[in-house]
Amino acid sequence: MWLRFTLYDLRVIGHYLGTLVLFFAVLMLVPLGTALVFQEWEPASRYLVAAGITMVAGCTLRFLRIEPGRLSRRQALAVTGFAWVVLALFASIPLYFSGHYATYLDAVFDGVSGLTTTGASVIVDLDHLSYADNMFRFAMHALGGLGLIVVALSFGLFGRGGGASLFSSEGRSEHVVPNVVQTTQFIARITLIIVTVATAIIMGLCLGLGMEPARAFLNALWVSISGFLTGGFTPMQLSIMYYHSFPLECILMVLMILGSISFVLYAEVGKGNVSAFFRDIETKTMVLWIAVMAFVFTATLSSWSLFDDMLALLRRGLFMIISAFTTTGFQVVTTNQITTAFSNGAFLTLAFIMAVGGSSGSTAGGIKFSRMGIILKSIVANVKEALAPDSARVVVAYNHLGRRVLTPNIVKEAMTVFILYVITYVIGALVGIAHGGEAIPAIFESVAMTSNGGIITSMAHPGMAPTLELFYILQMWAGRLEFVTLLALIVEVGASLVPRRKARRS
Amino acid sequence: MSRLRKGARLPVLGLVTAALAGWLLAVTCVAVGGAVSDDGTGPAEPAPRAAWADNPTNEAVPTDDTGVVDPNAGKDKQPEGNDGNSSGAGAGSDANAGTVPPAGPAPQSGDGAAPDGSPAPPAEGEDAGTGSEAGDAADAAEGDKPVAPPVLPDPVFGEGTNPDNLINPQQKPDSSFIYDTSISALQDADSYLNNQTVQVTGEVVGDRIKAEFDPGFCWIVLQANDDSYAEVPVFIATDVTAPIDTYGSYGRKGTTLQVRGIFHLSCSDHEGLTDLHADTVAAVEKGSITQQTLDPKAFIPGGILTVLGLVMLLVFRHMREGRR
Repeated sequence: MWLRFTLYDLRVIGHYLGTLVLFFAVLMLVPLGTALVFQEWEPASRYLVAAGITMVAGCTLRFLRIEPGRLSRRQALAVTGFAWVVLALFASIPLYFSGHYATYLDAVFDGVSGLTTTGASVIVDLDHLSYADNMFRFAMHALGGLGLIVVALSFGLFGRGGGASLFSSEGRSEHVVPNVVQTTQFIARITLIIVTVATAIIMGLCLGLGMEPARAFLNALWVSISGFLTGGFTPMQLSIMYYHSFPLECILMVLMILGSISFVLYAEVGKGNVSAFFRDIETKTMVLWIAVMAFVFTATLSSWSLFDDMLALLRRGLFMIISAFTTTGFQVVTTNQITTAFSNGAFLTLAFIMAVGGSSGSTAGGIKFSRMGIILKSIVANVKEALAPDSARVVVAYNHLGRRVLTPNIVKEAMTVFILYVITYVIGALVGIAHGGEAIPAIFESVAMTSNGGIITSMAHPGMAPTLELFYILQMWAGRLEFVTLLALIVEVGASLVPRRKARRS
Repeated sequence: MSRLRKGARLPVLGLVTAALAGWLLAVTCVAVGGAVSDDGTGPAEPAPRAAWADNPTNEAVPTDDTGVVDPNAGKDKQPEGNDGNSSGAGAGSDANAGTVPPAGPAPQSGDGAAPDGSPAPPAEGEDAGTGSEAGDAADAAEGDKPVAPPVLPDPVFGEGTNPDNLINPQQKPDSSFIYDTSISALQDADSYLNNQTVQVTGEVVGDRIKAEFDPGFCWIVLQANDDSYAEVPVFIATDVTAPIDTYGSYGRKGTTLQVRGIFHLSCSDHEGLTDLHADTVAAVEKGSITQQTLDPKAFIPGGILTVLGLVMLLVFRHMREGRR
């Protein structure tokens, strides 16, 4: 029998959602401040209205339960699951009224894409977007990349209201330190340091490229946030191609890789345990996977007349591989080049790279290296068992923050998420095909949405079919929550909506 | 052991010597071939003028598979004393495309090179090369003038037309110059448009980015003026950007430029970037800045909502304190 939400549950969930919505209203003060500094009066008034609406809505939700008490695990799952879409709905208000979206659903799409750090965008005329709107887009990346719950916990928004439940419901199970709040503060601190350093370096490069100081600073800040948090939004329509700077691309490649490494490993390296990083199953899987896929990608591209130049392969190919596996979504080739100048093989290889994604406990999306490594280890274990005598007990271990023994539970968890990802990739591709898309772009786009990779080609575009857009939104949402939270939420909501009599019959 | 090594070096030395000899032979052959073609006496080069004078047919005009006139033949078709500006209809039109005075607005550069005498963009190496080779051929022809073709009765202009003004009446459609292409067509271009000369018009947006490995050149972005908002990066000599008075951004409409140049789907000079190497640039329309005026009334709804939110926050706080 499925558990149902009680009225009390809904009131508690509403209260905590209200807290997050209220926090989101405070986040809107960042673009409001930007608009005031750059004297963008229309965006300033728009963000004031949006912040006001969000604040009123947040307060109203909080009134649902004055004293909410501690969050149970089920309630925490619901808060986390709903938060990504509820906040995206509020984010779409100022975005839509910027006049840069063909439909309201396009603005919601960008809101979800920004918060889930997918980075796919259906905005039109991005190069004429105000600084305030851009700042808001990257603020969403920062919030979503770190994790709504991580940020909220690091600010102490939930008090003593079930931080651990919320933390794990967001797909994070590893703690840098036992205390959840301290862990979230550590993640925020690391991000702040890396983004600050990257901003300073990239700003220097942008000034060298001839950009005005204000634009140089803002562009540097935005691409640094987007790069480290593996978001993928860029302030310019041509993505990273706009800057025509090889040093900048190198810095962004480093930044993206840093963003795709588990925060827990940062803590280990910080403690002087550097070897933990190199022994980790995620690092080993990453090296193996990227080496194989880089070889395949290069081989297929070099056989294609339009992209067989060695320098082009090194500069564009390498960047695209890193952008894909970190699920950032930055581009140094045009969408048209991916479909025209790239071979079908290269196109699909990029999709495979995105599908697997980065490390767990990082800001990257996708299936994750740790799960791929565990599945690989379980295959090894099966082969060993087949070859070993009946009396032998086969033990397979792996390194992830210390030596761990592979257990059936760990394999089951990895396999479940792996299968869920694959099923979603396939269903998304079928939905794309059903909307008249070509097979390969449909597969590519489906993978880009679910893995939060964000490199899009021809399927996702301004004013696309609402059904397809809604499905892509669902994919981004599911991918960010790594399915389990979302599935649990869907089942609970479904069970709660079924009348009690029918539930008894079943 | 050391003796063996010394012994092993002999075949290596032999191979190196053979390679060097082969290389020298190849270089000599290339040099001799170049000399032969430069002085115009090479047996492999056809005599196009004779072919044209002799009531040419389609078959007599060398074309490639796509029907485009063979550019190699065009090198020899450069008439002597002609500066190349009037032979746009001739073969090898990639080299000549930039030399045709453009219709419409006054261009910044009218003769294929960058304006103000600055050198042509290095990325057009292929075309620049073709141009210089054509120039060389013309110089060589001055020293060794071939027999002038007979004066032909001209059905339009009558007798007495300049015999040097050679226009091929059998010229096939030349697909190497595509006039007034849209930027969205470039954004969705297939390999057909690769390395073609195109002319596009659009708004300059963003910044002027210095080209990192090409001093004197920069990058601008041209955005389509239609609803597609398609964009193409343009590689351009910095001097030529002088007519750009505004770069498009929020509240700013950038200068509308007409740019003619060579489009690369995957540019070999810029590591596979899709770009447009500008030859000729003309400002079509000046940019403009929309002055934003502060309208306090626009802030009233937001202010009311925010105050309402703050009041609700205070009430909530008060209620919670009351319960404790």
